[in-house]
Amino acid sequence: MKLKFKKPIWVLSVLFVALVLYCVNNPLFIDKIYSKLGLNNTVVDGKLNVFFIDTEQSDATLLTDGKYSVLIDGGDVDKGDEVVAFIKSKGIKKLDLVILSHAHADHMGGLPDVFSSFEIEKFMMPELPEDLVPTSKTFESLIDAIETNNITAEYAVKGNTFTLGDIGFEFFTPVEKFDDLNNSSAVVRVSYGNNSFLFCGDAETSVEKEILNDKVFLSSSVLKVGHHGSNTSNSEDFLYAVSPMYAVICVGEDNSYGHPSSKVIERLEKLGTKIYRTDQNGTITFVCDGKKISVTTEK
Amino acid sequence: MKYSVDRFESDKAVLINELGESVVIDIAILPNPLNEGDLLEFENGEYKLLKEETVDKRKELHNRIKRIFK
Repeated sequence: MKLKFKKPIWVLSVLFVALVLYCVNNPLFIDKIYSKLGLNNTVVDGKLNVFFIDTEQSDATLLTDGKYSVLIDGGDVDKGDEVVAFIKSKGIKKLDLVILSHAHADHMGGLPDVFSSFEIEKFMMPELPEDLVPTSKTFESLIDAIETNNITAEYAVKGNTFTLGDIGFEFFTPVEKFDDLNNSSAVVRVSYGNNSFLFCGDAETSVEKEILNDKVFLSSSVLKVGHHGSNTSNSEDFLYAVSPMYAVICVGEDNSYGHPSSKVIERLEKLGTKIYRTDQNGTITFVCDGKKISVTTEK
Repeated sequence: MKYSVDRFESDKAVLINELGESVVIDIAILPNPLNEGDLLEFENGEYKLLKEETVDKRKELHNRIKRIFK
């Protein structure tokens, strides 16, 4: 009698283990579990507007829920006036937080104008070793603006989490060691109820690998694609772990760098991600209420 | 005119001049080796690396950053 039941039980055990292993390694399944457990199910009161401002071949994103306003990166050196005008057009007079992902001109160039135009509660950027401190007029202007306007400045630190009202922030980097500014990028996940946005700066695949090794919860509704869609970022494994519903590529029309890479586009399309690009769509706006997300574009 | 190397994009370098304007230059015509943050001077039709000025500028800005940041 015992021999008749031994083989089926053994087979069932192997199948069960295989099923468990598949589920825990599937980020979409984990997302559903988090939702069911209510871990991301913060009840929010209101709507978060996220504007990926079209600053051509540079990054500038404004997030506001009417109570708090945050800017992540300030566009390129000649885009400061445009970024300021956009923020003012939303009736904003104060920025509660400005995050600079990394100190390249196409991310920090517009910030001196921003710092001179608004009250800034706090500024955050990665700490840099002396041998990577930029020497440009752009960076010097940024430092001048922080000092002149007496802005509180803090380093972005890996593992740091905090909230501004219903808006949550979680930093997955900077990594401990980097030898260029792209890889100093602060990668930050912004959450609002069950909606989430992952901002990757220009972090490259080596940083993405470190983030994956940390086994943090990366799945996000919207991905601000790293490094303007370059193939030096956006590895297949990383994009799979994020599995975004939407991806935004901040890129200039006919740019001389070949951004975005067709390989990166293919990887996102393979995931079923809906892709928006500032060169084709202009400023891209997401409105979320903690559960649903809607998108509108300028073009 | 002096320039700071802001970043590299494939075979190009993005330089920022003293007026805060950016220019894109082929890496091939720049000094080698070259790093982000290096200061250059364009003189007599070529770019010259300013090693000591680069070190001094980095030190100056790094000290300012340390005073500002918590």
